Amino acid sequence: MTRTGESTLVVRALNKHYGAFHAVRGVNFDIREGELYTLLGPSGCGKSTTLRCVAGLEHIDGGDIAIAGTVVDSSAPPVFMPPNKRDIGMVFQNYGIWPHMSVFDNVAFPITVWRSKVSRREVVRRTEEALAAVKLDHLSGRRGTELSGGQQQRVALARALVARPKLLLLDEPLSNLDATLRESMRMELRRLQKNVGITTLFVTHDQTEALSMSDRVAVMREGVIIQEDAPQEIYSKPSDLYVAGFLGRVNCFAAKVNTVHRDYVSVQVGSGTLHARSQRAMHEGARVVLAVRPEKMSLRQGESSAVNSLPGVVAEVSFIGEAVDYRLLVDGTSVIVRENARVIFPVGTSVRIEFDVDDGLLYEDEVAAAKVSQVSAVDPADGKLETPRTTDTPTTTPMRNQQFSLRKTATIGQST
Amino acid sequence: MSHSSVQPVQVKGLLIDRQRPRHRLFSRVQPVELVLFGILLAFFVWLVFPPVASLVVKAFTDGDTNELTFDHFVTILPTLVHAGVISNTLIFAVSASVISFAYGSVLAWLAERTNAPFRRLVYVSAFLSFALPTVIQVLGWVFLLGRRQGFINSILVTQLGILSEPLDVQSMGGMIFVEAILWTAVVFLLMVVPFRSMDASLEEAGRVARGTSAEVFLRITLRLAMPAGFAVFFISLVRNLESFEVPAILGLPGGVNVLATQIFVRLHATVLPNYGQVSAYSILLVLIVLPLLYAYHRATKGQGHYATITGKGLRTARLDLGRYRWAAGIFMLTLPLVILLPLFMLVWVSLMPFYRIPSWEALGSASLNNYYALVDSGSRVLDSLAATALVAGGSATILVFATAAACWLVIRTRVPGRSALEFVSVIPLAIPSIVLGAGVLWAYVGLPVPIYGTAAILVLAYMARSLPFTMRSNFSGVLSISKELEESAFVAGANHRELFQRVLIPLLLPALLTGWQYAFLQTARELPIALLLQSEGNQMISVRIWNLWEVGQVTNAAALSVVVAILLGILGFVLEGLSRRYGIVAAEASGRR
Repeated sequence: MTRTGESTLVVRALNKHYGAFHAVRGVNFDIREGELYTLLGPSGCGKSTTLRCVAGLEHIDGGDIAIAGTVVDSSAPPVFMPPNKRDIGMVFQNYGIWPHMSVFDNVAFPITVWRSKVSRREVVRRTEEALAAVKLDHLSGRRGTELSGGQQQRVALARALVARPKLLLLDEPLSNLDATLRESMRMELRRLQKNVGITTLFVTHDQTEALSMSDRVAVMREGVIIQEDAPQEIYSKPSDLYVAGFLGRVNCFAAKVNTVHRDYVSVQVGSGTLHARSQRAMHEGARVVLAVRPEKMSLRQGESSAVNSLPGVVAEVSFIGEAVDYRLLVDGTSVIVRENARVIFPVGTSVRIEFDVDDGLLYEDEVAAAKVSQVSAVDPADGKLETPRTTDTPTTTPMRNQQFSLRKTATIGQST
Repeated sequence: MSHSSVQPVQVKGLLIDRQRPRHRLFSRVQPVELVLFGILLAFFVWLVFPPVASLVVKAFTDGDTNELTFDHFVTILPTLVHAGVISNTLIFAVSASVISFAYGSVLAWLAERTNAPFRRLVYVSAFLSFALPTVIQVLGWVFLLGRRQGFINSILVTQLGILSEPLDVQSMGGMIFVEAILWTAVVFLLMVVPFRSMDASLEEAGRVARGTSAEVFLRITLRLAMPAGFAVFFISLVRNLESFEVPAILGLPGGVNVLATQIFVRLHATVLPNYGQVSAYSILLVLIVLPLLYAYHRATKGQGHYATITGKGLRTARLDLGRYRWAAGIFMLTLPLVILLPLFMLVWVSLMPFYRIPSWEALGSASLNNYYALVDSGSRVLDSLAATALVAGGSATILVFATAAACWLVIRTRVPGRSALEFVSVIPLAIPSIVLGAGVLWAYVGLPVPIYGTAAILVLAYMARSLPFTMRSNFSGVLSISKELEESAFVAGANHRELFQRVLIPLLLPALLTGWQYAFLQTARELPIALLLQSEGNQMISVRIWNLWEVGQVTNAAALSVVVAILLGILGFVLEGLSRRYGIVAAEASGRR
């Protein structure tokens, strides 16, 4: 039996095939009691499949799953506990609200099944309590189909919580809501989860949801967890360019390591020298990629005394209210910078682009190093400045990100 | 008159959802739309009104004095009650409907929601049964279960030593059995749709919410399929009440009379038919059918609540039956068995010089002589095939395009009175086949215009009969096309004709094909209208088989049945394949998944 310790969910070496497609390839993770743990990744990365395996809606091909110390799935010896016995609650992407039942009957279902020993009075009390928790007590007589998307989502949540399960599973619960509703539901969901104190596995492709709601985030790609960490950690120290790109926009510069002083690295970018901290050992002369997030950069007119400073010309300005997105040309190459809107530099202004040493991320990248030895700036949205929007939904796809250094890029400085 | 006071109120309930302003194309009526509306309304009224009017007039007037009278009803009622015709009709229809509904629904659930084997085989055999004329399949059952010559009876007598033949298909029990099997295939095909479109996450939510498999089936799956189930049940009850072939072939020789066969006998088998009494019978049958149609309408109206297709994240996870899988498989095999067995029997009989029960000894006398005889007997069989193709193809083609235009007018325009098109088009649903045949016959028999005695009268009758269904098929077709696609055609400078030719018709193709396929097959397999309206040179293929059977040329009837079964079977599957293929293309084009 798997050792569980204080973890409510333990997943070990999980594997799942659909015919020839290997959807989940040896996924391991633990969720501690009361924690909200997020699987983040693009569609087809295996995150939903992992969740459905935990729910018992898919049969696993290898590995073990234990919920609250009980093995519910195992390949050897074969164990399979059906979903109705797993003591879980789940919110489906399209909510799965039964159209032939009232809101009350939908929510009461888990405590009115044959197996449930809850008395009729207790059923009424607990269902009303669950509906009150999601602020729907006034709609309990309505039919499921007479509700708006946000209301259906609340019903689904109340239904998932009414039986007080050990584990709550959320399968992209916010993706069918419109943008403003999604934002408020995000906060409400988080508050409710903390109040109830329920251990939660959350699956999403939206990095804003993942970062704002989770205690820990795991980024998945092609059936594998690449990195797992607290939101701030994973955002500021992504383990590779894929993760960096998936969590937000990033400018990339092909660079060459000049000197290494402990974790303080100075690199050659075109004709200039920039400085960053590396989490890994770097050796001098290595070809690397320097990545900086647009909001970590700032613009200044005139002389710069910053350690990292690049000369650039404003090419496009996009005012989005709370901030300004600039596209700058650094010797013909685009660099994206997000600034606050106090001063707006008009197109054509010559500026200095500055960033902190701690905000420069260094990655080894053989492909990039081989192809491009010069500065290259990459905007995830195909080198174009993004249209104004309030949330930073990732337009980066992993493919784009991988190709960043292969794309035709303009260069500054002489070719070596 | 009672016609106008009863029908509009009841039938109006069948109209489909009157409030749909968001579908309108223009805020003003275009002249071309008015012209189209006028033509279509005149056409629909021409199809529906004459048979209905002539029936009503004949039922309430005295044949000699032309005065208003209720005598016909007064005369027939005691006979009907005494001879048990009404109770027979009800027992037969209700029993067959209940059995076929239970049997067909369980099969559909097994085929669509579980991992039971032989799904494909059940689907193919059900579709084959739907495509083949009922006459053919009933004859097959006579060969299998007939009291004297039935194959199964002879096995029971010779092999098991039972003294008298235990089974008799020409009885109430036999009629119910055969009718139930014929309708099981249809119920299966209809019930497959709600089970297939059901969003699997609704069932999954039930399992995660602590329900067992049985609980999820009873509390979720079954309830979700209920509205569709009611509709299917009521429509099968209506069709079984007016069923003609089974009561005619099995009931008449066995002395079991129902309303539909009484109408036929009184009309066809007597020298001087009493038209007034026949009409009274017909009106009685319509009156029994009407409340059921109202119930059918109520059931279909609620289906909007249960719109179960969500597109996004739609999964069709099947229930794992575990160790019951093969038990379910054996159950699944029963339908192909009862559909194919009578057909094999027909093949056997068609190879015999005279009717013989299958045996090794009889196999020696097998030959293709009956098939040669079909061609030898002049070109009359070929004439019948040509007439069937002409009548079925012609009526289906005209109807499909006319109803497409009508649905477009009703949904997309603001032409005043446009819902009259809908109203007129549902009336034939309430008129049993045999009644419609009689009505059309009287409407045209006395006219100086030569319509009676030609293929045209058959085309008219069958267009009236298929009108409700093609209208419905096109209605959902037009509704599924987003209005913007048409608006952009107008904005791009197209006129109405170009809109139809280049945008609407291509997008409607799946609905058109479905409607055409249904109208064609229904016409090709139909018997009572073909019987009543036949004339020299215009005998539909089902009539030809019926006539051969009536005069005792059993083996020839079997051979012709086999030929027709092969032809219609192939045609049915080709059409099915076509509507599937183009259905997908057009569904993608209209932005649906």
